[in-house]
Amino acid sequence: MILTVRLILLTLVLGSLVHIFAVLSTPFLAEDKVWQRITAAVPARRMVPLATTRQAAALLGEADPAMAHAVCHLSLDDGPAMVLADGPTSFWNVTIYNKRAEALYSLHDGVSETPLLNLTIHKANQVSQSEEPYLEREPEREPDSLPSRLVDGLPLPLPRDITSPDEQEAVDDTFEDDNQSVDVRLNEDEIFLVFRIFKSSRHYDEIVAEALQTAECH
Amino acid sequence: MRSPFIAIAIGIIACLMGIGSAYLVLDGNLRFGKVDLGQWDVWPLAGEPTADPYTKAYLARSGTVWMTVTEGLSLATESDSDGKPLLGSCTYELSGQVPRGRLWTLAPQGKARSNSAGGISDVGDGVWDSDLAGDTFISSSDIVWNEDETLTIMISRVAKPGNWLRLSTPGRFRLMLRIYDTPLTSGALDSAIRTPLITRRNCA
Repeated sequence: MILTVRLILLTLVLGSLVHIFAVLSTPFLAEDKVWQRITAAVPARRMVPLATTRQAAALLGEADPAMAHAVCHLSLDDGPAMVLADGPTSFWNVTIYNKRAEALYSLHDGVSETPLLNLTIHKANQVSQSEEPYLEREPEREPDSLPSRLVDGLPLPLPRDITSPDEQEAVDDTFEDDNQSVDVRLNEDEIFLVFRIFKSSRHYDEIVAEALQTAECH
Repeated sequence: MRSPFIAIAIGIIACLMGIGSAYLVLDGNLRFGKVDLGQWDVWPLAGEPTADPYTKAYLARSGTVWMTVTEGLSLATESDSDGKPLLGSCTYELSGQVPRGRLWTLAPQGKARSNSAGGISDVGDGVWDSDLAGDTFISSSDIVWNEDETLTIMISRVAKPGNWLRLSTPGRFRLMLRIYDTPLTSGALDSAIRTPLITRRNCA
């Protein structure tokens, strides 16, 4: 009797271990589906607009029909990447993900004027030309503010609360300092980014499509 | 003679139980790391490196890029204020306030129908897809506000005066309310945040 109880308990304990192992190993066994889909669909170091929500959802799994999407994937081992875009004054955001589709860095409009978007992405150990202003600005960061938690050793291009005039000014200075290019340093090699522009109505479709088409990622 | 047999049996049963339960938990909807905001569900850590293992495993399995808190908040609901599932054959009224942000968009998502007699699909089969719901949306940029700074949006398949979100799916749908650039962070999410209410008006 006692033996049977022990055996059942042993089975349960082993079962839970298998369960934990199965859950923890899933992200590795699932073979980075988003990454696989994107690398199979679009060439590296090119910003590729996705014409419809269906296309965006097919690659990303989920997409806001109110947004026009473009994706770009690259390996930082091949050198730093530049992301440039110019276009409508409509709301936009750009988010950088690692191979496992975890968000590493996100930037949206709201502070930058023109050009619309100017990002330089480095690998964390790559030497950057704008190292100095970057180091100077470091103490301004709040240690546990949200975006800084996502980004390794980065100047914060955006305050969370854009209503604060002081912070707004600080950020504007930042943009002047390094010639309006935002430096992003990541501890990852293979990354992809999604550029989203809000299309407030069907009338804006063409303008938004134009902005996505002229966006660069190289 | 008996003990190796028992050991193998225990091993097999443990594997079946462990993998089976993991499969059940990761199938269907995202169940972990969920925060309730009124009628709405939010997964504040989904898509971030700090998410819980279940959320990570779920997103990896489904291959989904989730909106993270740095981008904004993605609120989802599958049911009305009475807890009944949202149906395309009904008319709903969404009313109240939307949490503060630069921009919000409201879009329905349909679900691929199950093959069982063409009935309304249950949770677990198919994925939510905005294309199945006609790719429609309404946003903060084309809304008419009430005088008291609340809003009212009619959600139905037939046109309504005022703010109207068109539905084109006859079956079950869910609503996605995406709030971009919001000061709300995962630590600031509690029931004090006002979210809009979805009330069923009438059904065809």
